Amino acid sequence: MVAADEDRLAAADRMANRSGTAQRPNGSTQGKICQFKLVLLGESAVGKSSLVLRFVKGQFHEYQESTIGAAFLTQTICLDDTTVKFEIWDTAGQERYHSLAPMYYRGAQAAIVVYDITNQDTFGRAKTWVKELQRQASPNIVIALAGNKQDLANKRMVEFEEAQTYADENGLLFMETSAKTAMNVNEIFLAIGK
Amino acid sequence: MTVPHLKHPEMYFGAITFFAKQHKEDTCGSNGLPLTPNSIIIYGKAQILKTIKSPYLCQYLDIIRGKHERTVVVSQYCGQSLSNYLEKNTFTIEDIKRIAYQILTGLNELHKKNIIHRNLSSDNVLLLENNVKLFNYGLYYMTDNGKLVSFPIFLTNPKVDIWSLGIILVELTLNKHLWHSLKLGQRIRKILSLLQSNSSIFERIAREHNCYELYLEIPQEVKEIIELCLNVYPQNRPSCEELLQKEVFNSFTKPTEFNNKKLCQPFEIFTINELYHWWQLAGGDLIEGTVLGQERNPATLYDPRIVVMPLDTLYQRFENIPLECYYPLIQCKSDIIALAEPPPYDATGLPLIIKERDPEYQFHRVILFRRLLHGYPFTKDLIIKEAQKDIPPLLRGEIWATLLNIKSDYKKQYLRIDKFTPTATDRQIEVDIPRCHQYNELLSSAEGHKKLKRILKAWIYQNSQYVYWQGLDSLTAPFLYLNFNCEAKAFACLSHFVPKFLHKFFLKDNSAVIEEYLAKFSQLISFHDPELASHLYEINFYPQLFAIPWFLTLFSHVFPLYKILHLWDKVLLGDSSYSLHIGLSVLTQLRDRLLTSGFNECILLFSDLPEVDIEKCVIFSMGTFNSTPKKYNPPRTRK
Repeated sequence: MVAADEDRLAAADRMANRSGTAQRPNGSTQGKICQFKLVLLGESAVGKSSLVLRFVKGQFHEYQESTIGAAFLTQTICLDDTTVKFEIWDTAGQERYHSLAPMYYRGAQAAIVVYDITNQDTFGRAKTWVKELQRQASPNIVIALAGNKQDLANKRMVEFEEAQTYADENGLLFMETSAKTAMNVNEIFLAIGK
Repeated sequence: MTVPHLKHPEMYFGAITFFAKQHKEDTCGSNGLPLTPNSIIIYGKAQILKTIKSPYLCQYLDIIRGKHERTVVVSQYCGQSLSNYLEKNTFTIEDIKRIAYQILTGLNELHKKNIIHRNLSSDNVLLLENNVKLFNYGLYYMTDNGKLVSFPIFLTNPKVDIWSLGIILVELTLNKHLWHSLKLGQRIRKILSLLQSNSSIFERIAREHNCYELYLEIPQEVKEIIELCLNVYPQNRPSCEELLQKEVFNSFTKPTEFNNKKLCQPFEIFTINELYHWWQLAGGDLIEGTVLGQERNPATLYDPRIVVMPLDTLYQRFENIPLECYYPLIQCKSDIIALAEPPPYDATGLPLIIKERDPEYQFHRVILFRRLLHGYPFTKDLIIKEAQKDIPPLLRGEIWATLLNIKSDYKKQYLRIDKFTPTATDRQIEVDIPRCHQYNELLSSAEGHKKLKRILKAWIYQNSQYVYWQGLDSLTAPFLYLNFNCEAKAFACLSHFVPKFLHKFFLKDNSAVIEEYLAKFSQLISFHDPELASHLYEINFYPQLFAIPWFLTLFSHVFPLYKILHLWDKVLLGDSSYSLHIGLSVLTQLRDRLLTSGFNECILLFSDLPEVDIEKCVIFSMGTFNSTPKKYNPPRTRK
């Protein structure tokens, strides 16, 4: 686990460097306010809305309702001397709502693709989303992969190393997260913001 | 003056209470969600008991969850228990035969439904005039054979009830409380000692209680029944059916069977359900101030006491309701007769929420609607007319079904549909159900989950032209909530609702219909509120970004259940364009904030919809609905 964590941190550093050179909409410089459009994608019931709720309000609802269409939330944080305002589009997970997704990821500077570590299918679906983003989204988009429900690690079906390898190969920032325990939730958003 | 009307000897109720087993803290199910509290599982499971109606069974009325996993069960309670009569009056042999026959008939009805009483004793067989009713027969069933509680109830089979019947008959024939002076442990020892008995158990009990002479006088045919019941080997005891065939009961069988087979059920002006509802509205409280409200205590996890509810407050409250009001005229063409009617109970101008809690008003509404529902479909127009005023919550499920034109064969239709074969949609349904209106006790119970799944699968099976879009679960929830004990009706309501109000929304490609609704919605805003429309346009705040769940689920994914019910009371009276007007009225309620906000603030407002006043929303949307030129109105509806 320690080795894995080091890998993760290394990956985070790499990603942070990359996103440092990413294009920013308002040409933000130090001491300025920077707006940041971010979209969450992934199979339904993997915990997209829960991650956002944890990040924005610090809450967790066991019975978080499903998202239809999309929901929009914002969160403002200070990174060093820059104020970063996250504008987060949280999308519906059901495959049928797929056709709406481009409306939300178009023009997004970052995406978090979420899967559920206890369900292999959701990981497959995450890979499909990554491919689609690489093809269709803006070329400079920062993509993070979140293996959510880390609190259920004893029911794990997707190995950490497998996801890490995939993330490395595709230049993705990767963390395992838990919206329930708050593990790595702020971290993944902040790593993107850097 | 009309209170005697309410004081029907069968219309009394009582309550018992027990505590469900508590989960250890912080335990989670396999899906990572917390385990459903046992009291909620019991709550869901017990609902079906409310549908059991029989002259020999007390009717279940309500299940209430209290603090610390307390469950209170309310049921009809009339007459006096048989144990109250023991050692006082002597029953004749004819009486005892009749009582035995009635208990058996009641038990037989339960056993046919796979319900074991498990708790049968002379304490919970109630006698009113010549009629016996079994009480508290659902405890074993609702606690899942005792698994959901921590006081001892052991797994068993229906034959246990036959033994209990035997003991009751011994008590009645000997006119004695058995082993009355002994402590519990001694009693158990006595009963275990019967295991070794080679002679007749009945005879042995009679000797032990110094009743041998009385025993000798009992007719052979009655003795035989008792001996059959008191067999120590359950497998050797007869079933209810077998006992009912015995000659000794011949004199009771025929007339009863004749009575039971009436072609249509007699019309009752009101039922005990309604009396209980009015009693609650009149301030009846089960939990405060009685044994039902005591703290959790390991010694009283099950409390054998029965609390009979006093009805005086209700009688006082209804004292001045004239007799005519029990018989409202619904189709009266004569002015003279109409003028002689008492003036209607005046509730005009009162907010809906107050009207729904006013016992007198609900009395009048329920009496009237029961009559109208009885005459359905011939009274359909009158039902619509009355529903435009308001819908009494107690009868909402039935009234909605008539407004949706549900036909009488809905049960047969539902039975035919495949609800079980696995399909590709199952995974989606399974992840959505545990997130669908889970604050509600019924919908979060295990029974609720199972029922919702079956209804959704049935709907998909039946509508091959449509697919499951997330949101269909929310759309089904109000129908299931209102018809929890009749899945078929919930399904029929959904099946009639979708084509009428959400035509084409559940097509695999529904983009055309959604685009059409959203475009009409934009037009509607421009027509009624050009200033708001142009502001929203300027800040790029398009309906696409927030209104899809509004129209796709007719707000059932947006509002909590109690608001949806009030909203849909009106939706059902409108057409498929009405949802646009609801949307407009929501925007109007938030108008000031929208006008002064930019894109982000506006969209945030809808991601976390603030408190919307549903009554205002309904009034406003009815106004615009009726005043908008037709061309802004309905997208295509199926005829």
